[in-house]
Amino acid sequence: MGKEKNINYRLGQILVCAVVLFVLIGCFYTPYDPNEMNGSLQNSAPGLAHPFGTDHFGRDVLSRVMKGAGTTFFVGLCTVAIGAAAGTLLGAVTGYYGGLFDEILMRLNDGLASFPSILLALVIVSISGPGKYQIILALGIVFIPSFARVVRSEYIIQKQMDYVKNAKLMGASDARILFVHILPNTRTILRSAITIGFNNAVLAEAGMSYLSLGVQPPDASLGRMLAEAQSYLFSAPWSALAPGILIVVTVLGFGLISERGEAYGGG
Amino acid sequence: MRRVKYLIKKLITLIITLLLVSAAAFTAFELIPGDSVTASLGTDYTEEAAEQLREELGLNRSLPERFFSWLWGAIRGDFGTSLQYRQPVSDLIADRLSVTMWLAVLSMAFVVVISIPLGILAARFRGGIADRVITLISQAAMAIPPFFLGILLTLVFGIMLSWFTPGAYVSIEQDPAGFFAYLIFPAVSVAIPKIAMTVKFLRSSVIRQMRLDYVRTARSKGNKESAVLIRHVLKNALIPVVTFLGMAAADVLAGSIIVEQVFGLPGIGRLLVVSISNRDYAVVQAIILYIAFAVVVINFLVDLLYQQLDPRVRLN
Repeated sequence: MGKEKNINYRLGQILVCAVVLFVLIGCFYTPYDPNEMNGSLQNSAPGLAHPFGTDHFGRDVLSRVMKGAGTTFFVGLCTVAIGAAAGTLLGAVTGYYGGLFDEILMRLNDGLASFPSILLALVIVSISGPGKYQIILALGIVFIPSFARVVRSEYIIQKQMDYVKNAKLMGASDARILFVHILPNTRTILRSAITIGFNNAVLAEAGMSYLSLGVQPPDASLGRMLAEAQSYLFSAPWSALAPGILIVVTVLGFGLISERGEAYGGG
Repeated sequence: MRRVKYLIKKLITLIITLLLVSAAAFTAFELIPGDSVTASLGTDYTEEAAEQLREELGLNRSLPERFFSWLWGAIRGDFGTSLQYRQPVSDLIADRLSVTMWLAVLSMAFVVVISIPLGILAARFRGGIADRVITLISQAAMAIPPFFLGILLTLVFGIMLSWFTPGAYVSIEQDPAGFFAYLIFPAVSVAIPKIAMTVKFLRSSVIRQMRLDYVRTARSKGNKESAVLIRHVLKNALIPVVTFLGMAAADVLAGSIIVEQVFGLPGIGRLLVVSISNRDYAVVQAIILYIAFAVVVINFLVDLLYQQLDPRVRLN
């Protein structure tokens, strides 16, 4: 059992490193201009010049996937940052103080948790309109409850521990106990919540952009590319396969890593 | 008596939740900047005309008043008129609701029928070849977003093998057999990631039960391993799975929204996406309310089922 987990974790690390490297290179260098159209090379199959082929506008699929994955990662990271920051703050305060405010927020949280996150994001996007920053905001808000829930339960456990009582006796302020003493002890659970959250964000971004409610053209994003490629599935399947497989590899990699985090957290 | 009390308590919670959900769905769209009156008058805008139109549409009333009249309409199935189609919203939804419903039901059926045997198999032979293969495949399956799976299935079974024609949807009235045949691949795309998650969940649920004392007792009485599993363990191991499947049902509904787009199914998911793009808020509001109601009611039913299955819940 232990050994097998370790193999999975290693595999996850390799996949994540490969994807992150791919995206990082894409930030600085792509073989072609991802938006440059080439009329003579429409839907050409993968070959030496274009390893992943070209799409219906003759754009290089490899370059577009590199840039598109960058956009998807950017959305995912910002989303998780918003969700984790606001969620941690809410979870810390409600978990530590309890009381009526906690009760109300948790009821709300329970209600929200039963709704599919993509549906909530769709509601927000239908109000704010589609776009890259709108979708970051929408998904960020949608992800707050899940972080708040995890952090809150950790704070409830931690606040009863001796080191917190000790800090109180020493006269530490509440803010200091909350963020200097307890927060570092939530890092294992937070780490696993962040990897899972990032995965969900990547999937949600891809889904929303696929529905053309997320990232808008000419920006490439993995979901957006899938939507565009679908009409040309017959003549150029590679332009759908490349972004799709990249999503799968990303989600699989982070998924495998987060499993180990769960084992750490005792879950 | 206790059961009746529990039911009444749950029913009251259900009604409050439904009220809150509809209030949220209503007020969310009141936050949108801009005024439908100014938009629809366009260049004919004058103070008096605007005032008159507000009067007609009932927009000069207070927010709670408008909410209750909207809610009352919604209860009677009247959601107003769609701006893009110039048709009553309820008609638009009624036409498409059955497609989404069947897609969700079919996907859910796949999830239950496929994941339960696989999960049990993996737990029965845990550590063995069958378990490893199942765990590995489900790990990978969880990482595939349903819409990409849909595209893959279209590519392999629609284009390469020609088992079905992509986009050749027939309605259930025209040809019921053709309708369900076309629905199989969309349902598979929605179901596979959920099957993987359910297998993983059920496997660990069974393994957790296997460590308990009653299993040891059952074994020591001379029962065969498979008999212990089927007669003793399964009953207990499936209880948490019921809750899990309830949550999966909500996700299946959401997954259907995107997968409808992949296979060109005219369900409420596609209507929702088109309406969001066209800012047709009456339709968006109604669909959100429909889906939210479905989710809340599913949760309610799961709760009831759960307390029926697990006596410990009833006592609390």
